[in-house]
Amino acid sequence: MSERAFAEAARADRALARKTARSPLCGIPYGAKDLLAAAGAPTTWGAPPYRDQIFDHDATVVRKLERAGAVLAAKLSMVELAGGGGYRYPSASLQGPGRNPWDPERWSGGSSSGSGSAVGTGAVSYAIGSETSGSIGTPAAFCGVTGLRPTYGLVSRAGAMALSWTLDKIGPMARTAEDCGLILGAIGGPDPADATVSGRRYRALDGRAASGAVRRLRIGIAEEDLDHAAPEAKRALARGLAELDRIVPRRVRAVLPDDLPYGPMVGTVYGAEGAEIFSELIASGRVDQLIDARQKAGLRQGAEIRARDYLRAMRLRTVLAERFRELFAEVDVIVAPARTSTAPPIDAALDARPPGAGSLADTPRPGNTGLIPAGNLAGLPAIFFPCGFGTDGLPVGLQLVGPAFSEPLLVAIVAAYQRATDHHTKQPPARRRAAS
Amino acid sequence: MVDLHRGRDPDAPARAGLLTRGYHAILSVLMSSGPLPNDDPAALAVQIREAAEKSAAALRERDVPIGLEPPTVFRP
Repeated sequence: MSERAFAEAARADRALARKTARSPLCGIPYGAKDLLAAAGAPTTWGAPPYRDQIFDHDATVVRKLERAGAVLAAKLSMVELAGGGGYRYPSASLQGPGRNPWDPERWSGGSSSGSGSAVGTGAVSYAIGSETSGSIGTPAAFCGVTGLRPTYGLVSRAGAMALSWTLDKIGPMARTAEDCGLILGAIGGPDPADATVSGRRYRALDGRAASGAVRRLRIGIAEEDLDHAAPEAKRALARGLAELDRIVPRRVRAVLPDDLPYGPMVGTVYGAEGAEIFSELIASGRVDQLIDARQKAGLRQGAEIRARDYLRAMRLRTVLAERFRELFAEVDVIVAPARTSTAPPIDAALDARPPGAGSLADTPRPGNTGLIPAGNLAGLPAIFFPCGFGTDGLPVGLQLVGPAFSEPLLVAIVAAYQRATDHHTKQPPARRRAAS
Repeated sequence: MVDLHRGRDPDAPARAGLLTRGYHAILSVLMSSGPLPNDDPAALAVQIREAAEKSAAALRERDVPIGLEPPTVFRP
């Protein structure tokens, strides 16, 4: 692994010296979530049964970044099997719980835990993560970094561990939206090795088009979303929304349909697909080597999901896609909290409700609290970005979701927000100490 | 100037960045041993089965028109 990094760095040095570097990523060290194959390096998928796994090829995104001159400096830890069976504790990883850059006794989020930590601490300039339902958004929010979940089919998944063929997306995590755009430009686009790839590429809006688009757009919001926020996060989220108002003044009420069971839909889809993908692991009993008891039981239960329920969930995705099309006729993007609470303690059960947080059961107005599963089920892009700090000193963030392939607009909005604010420039204490 | 260069001299050789940030240093930041909680597998299995049944019921109670197809990526 380190030999590869030094070789890529030396190659980048030569390209920079000869002024033949083709990409702004040339020579920049990055980390890849450990579900991406990198030839010759361990690719553990964060799971004990795969601790010695080594591939002889690169994932397409790793190959594309190498072509851009980027330097693969680290494989980054992750929740085992990207949390496909569900997990109860942050410790559900071969490498231990991802520690939060802002407080090592808090979790960095999952399942792209190491990607969030590494970017948050400044250990790498950017990282590649993946999202099936929330795995880029959660660590981005908890670690105070910017994460971009691309439209399903914009980025090849070839060479990445599959958890759900119809939900998995690979995307960048970095300090800013513009950086995410640069990285997405390098990793997106055609790939014959992945049949789900659309062939479309990411192209950033130029400055004038971006500022015009941002000024004109209508942003959808459900005000009751803040009712669900934990007390420590509420004020920073409200302030972030007010700051966004100054960038995008046209606010329109927009609420997800409340007659679709987003949680059961997404859980059924990745539960059934994940159990089939890992059927050999389950049948052989090696599933018991996994760390988290919930993960083992959840994967086994996934194998029991009936075809009719899986197909019903899939058919409802068609309904959901149509509902989103109707919604996006009224608004250009939807904004909501990235997460409604700050990072939990690393030893806490993740299914314990944060103290003081509103429960969906307590209110008839769920607002857009289902935006993460709904956006993933519909294959829509999202950008997650920091908007301040909770009263406990931990980062909080917002998310924007747009229509398919609206990444250029999402990046332009958050870039404008980040030009007007400084939340994304804040550094955690350890990083400040290292820099001084 | 792209933000990716923050924290290092953009004209400095890439290798220098790697040496100061070091692969091993990165791993020590990210890998940590923590408590390994042990939940009762039998109780968990029951809990998960009940949750799965509730989830299936929520899907089934939602009517869908006979002509509604699931999305597909199958391309012969």
